[in-house]
Amino acid sequence: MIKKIIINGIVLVVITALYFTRVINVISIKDVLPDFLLILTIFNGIFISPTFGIIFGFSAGILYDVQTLSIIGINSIIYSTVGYLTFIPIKRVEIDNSIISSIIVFIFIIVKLIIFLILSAIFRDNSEIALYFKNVFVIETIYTLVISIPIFYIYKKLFRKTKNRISF
Amino acid sequence: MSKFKNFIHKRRRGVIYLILITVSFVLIFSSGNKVVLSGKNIFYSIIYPFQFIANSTGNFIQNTLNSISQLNKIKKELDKTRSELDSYKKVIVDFNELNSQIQSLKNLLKLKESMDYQIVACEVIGRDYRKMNEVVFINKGSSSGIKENMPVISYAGGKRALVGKIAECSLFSSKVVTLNNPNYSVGALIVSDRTQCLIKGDNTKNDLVKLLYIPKDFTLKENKTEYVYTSGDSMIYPRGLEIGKIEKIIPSERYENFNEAEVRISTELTKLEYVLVLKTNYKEDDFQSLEIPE
Repeated sequence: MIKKIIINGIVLVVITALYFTRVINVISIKDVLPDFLLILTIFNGIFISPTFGIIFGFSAGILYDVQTLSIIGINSIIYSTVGYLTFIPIKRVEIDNSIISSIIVFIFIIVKLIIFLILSAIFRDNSEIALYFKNVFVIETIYTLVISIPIFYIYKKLFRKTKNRISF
Repeated sequence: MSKFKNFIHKRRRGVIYLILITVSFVLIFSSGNKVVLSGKNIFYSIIYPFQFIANSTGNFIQNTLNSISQLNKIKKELDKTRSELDSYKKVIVDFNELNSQIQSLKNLLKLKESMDYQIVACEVIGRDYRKMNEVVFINKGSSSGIKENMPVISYAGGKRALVGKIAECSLFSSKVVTLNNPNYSVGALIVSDRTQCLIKGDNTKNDLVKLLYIPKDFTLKENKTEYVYTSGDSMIYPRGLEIGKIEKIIPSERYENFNEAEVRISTELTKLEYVLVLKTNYKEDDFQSLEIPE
């Protein structure tokens, strides 16, 4: 478990650090990046445990919010909720191929979107939401889905459980 | 106490989640200076996603319907434009046809003016395609003063070129036997050395006739075109009408002392539209008035 925490911690710090550098722009499409934090939160929740997903999501959100200099806490709510909800697919489906993982990622993108809309409507300017939909949403969704496939295989190889379903 | 511990332990995920969410909200309220949270705001926030989705879906459907109606409109416009284009194309074809007719008639008029004979301009109204146009029909007959054996010429490349002669004549139309007809012959002259020969019709090759009785010593020189004109020996054809140019000389099968030649006739019989009938009266005509160009 410590090994998993260390690996995820390093990955998280590296990603959040790179998010706001020019280096990461190499892989951006029209200045839009895939939502790595969402993918990692989902797969941490699925492959390690939902509790780990919640904590990872919260940490990722806090780190992201700190760097954006906006209201701290919004992304931590979003990602920790996503991490929390990962227990649903674990309970219901056998996640053993990239198609299922992509579908799950897509569903969580929608979940994230709904939470984002609610929180943004409360705490942020509505024009920001319109801008997000106009310039970011479609590209980000597609890019995230595409990127999630190799990450899924990496997680599958590193953190595969002998039994995917967990008891509740 | 142990019950509480068990409860917490069983629901530790939910508890952790709640704690972290609470921390997040605390952070939000502590970090955001302009956060105003009211009941109205929360209500709008909850219904906002649904409003947004409904609005987006409505816009999508409306745009789709508009696009379909626009497509129909564009299709109608396209059909209309296509039909207009077709009619314009037809106009262009008609225009070109008229232009071509005007050009033909101009040539004919030019030729008519250059002739010393009384001339009847006629339009070709029929032809025998299967036999290499060896016979063509024209739209003037005896009512226009046309008689049998009158020579028929056309305008080819700025010159007067022989087409044939009137074979039969009715009141309003005539039958012209052309150079391609195997029964047709005309006295000919090789212009360069004034050799008298005979043109004989041939319908085996398009626009090619035979030139008979060429002396053995006559040869074709390279880069020099040998023209053949009417010799004026017969009483039907005036001298100096272009017949064609020699393509190839071949030994005669019938006469040892002579060669034969294939002559490509100057008139393109397949494209013949207008002709002139020379009202020759061989008792009175002065054939010398036509000159053979060098």
